[in-house]
Amino acid sequence: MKRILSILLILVMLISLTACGNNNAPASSETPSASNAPSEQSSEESKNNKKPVIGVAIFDYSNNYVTYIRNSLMAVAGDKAEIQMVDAQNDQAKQVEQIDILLSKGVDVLCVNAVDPKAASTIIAKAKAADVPIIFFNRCPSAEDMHSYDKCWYVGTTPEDSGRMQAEMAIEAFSNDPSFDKNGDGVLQYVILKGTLGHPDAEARTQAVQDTFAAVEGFEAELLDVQPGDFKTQTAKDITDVWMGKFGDQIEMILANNDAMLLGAIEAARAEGYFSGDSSKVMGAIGINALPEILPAIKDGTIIGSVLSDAYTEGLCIFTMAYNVATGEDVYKGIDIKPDEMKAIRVPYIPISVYNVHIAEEMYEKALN
Amino acid sequence: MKSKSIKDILTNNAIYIVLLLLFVTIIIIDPSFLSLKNAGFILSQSATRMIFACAIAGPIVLGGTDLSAGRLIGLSGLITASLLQAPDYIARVFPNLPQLPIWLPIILAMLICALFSLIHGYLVAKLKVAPFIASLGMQLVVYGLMSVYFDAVSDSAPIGVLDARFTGFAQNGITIFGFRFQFIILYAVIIVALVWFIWNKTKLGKNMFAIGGNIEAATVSGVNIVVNMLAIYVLAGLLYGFGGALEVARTGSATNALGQGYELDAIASCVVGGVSMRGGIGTIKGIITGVLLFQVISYGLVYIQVNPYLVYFIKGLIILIAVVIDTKKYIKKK
Repeated sequence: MKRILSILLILVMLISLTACGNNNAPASSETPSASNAPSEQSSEESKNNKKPVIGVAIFDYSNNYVTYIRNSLMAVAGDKAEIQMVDAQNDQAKQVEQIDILLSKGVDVLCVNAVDPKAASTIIAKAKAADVPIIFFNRCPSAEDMHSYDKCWYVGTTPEDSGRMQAEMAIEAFSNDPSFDKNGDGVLQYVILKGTLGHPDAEARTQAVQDTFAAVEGFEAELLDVQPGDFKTQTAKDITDVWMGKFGDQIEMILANNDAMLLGAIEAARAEGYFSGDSSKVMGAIGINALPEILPAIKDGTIIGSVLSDAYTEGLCIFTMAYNVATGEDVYKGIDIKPDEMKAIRVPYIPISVYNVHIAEEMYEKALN
Repeated sequence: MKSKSIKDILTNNAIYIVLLLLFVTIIIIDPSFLSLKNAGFILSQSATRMIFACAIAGPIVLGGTDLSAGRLIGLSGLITASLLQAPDYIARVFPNLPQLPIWLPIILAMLICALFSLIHGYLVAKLKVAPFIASLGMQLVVYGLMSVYFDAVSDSAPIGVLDARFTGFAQNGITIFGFRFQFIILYAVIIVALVWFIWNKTKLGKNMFAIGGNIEAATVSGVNIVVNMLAIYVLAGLLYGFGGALEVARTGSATNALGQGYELDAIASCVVGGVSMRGGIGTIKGIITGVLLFQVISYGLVYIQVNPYLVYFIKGLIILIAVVIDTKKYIKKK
């Protein structure tokens, strides 16, 4: 009896714990639609009897950047459409099952942030059979897959561009400010914190940085080391500790594949006196993403800058295109960016430095509203 | 007879011999590895890992394991980071929160972690759920809750720009002849001493080894199994909480990915340090050696720029050798 009671007790505890989890979840991710819904719903509904249903498959809710995209998408959508969003938790098999469910529930259009872009053909085959259009985003399927279905489009970026812009910022800073050339040899000694090995963004960004340095005439750079920091702050901090021990003041610039890693690098270098306002301790640092956390450091000149990925515009384009196809309009209606030959809308990156931090701040205001 | 004892010594110390060989290889490839500066970095990187290993060793000695450790560390990191952001940072997750004394969020995080560990301990000690499954369930529960919290307070953006008092709490230190002694090392030493005291000088410690060694014998000799096991789990939870706060102060920002896989590193350090996965056997000295050796190797392999994929291979090999030795000892004991 006592045993049964205690089992019941633990069950109740666990259930109540998960229950508060459930209560909180919609509060954060679906607030925009939920809170805006009653205000304009009636007028919208009288005009158009049925709101389009948009299925959105996200590769991983815990990814920061995609979170900004999905928050922007929700904010833009407001009550114009019913959004059904699912999280694949970085598991492609799970995502395919979720897409089956969305299709069987009868969504008008699918927005897919594929876990593995190579799985796009499977997803396209399912959507094609159900005659549902797809907007892929964030992770780009191959051109071949994109051309295999006339009702599929892509919204994303050109990953190489972020690496190129990062390298251009480094070249500009190094050429304009002689204090970065600490050993006075005219060559930029730098290190790269790379993302997860094999990740398309990590490979593209790292390669683009090196290619850009090599392509600029009269500019010389020496790559001291490149290590995979898995896009994580903690791993990057431990790697930078090693660099501080091994190279120390030889490092003239740290380039990171994303800002989360740059934050870890700054923390490690700060323990050695860098990035803390001491003019005798110079080290350049440039990230990618221009996350809100990094903006204060750009503003006060601690670091050179970062490259903003415009999540708001991406979210806006995804929703606009999905809404257009669902309501029978031209898919590109209202989109300022020209599609490329594989039906892809590529939202440009923006280099963010002390002079234009406000662009990033305004973007986040819109994305988080 | 004599040759056999040499063989015994070799097999019993195989792990140290392998690690010594790796250490020597690293130094041969890059002699500059041997410096006080590197020693300082390795010690400060080991600090939180020592705390995690000492914490997780309790459930292991009891004959169980704790897969929820990493997520609890992350939960503590998220709680402390969200409550201890720099007061002049505009985009704080709680903009109206007054500047708190740093001990308050740390204690709060420790208590929350202890509560989860208490539930975990209850599942194992009272309801006799297999520790592997119980802790796997707890791992998912904690991860789910911390992700919901993270998403709710910061829209899943990393929580950074922490209060300088908080980061200084872990990162400040004194430099003696190029050797940087960060205060985080001091906290680790205090925790290690505390756990050593509990293990070796208190009744709880003796009971822990008795339960882990032979639970029936412990029951017969009048040890209150449930209470003692709960106490060990709560201690582990408190230490995860404290260590998680230090981890975030050390690295300066937190996401819900913080702590992922830390339990496996901690368990690996315990195993390499001679803690038996069958329970009942383990020393603090061994655990600390395990952590330090692992950290020297991880740091060293990055230092000499070994292919990162190969690092996984080498670490896996070290763990396997350690487990083989553990098994051999166990068979001999039987």
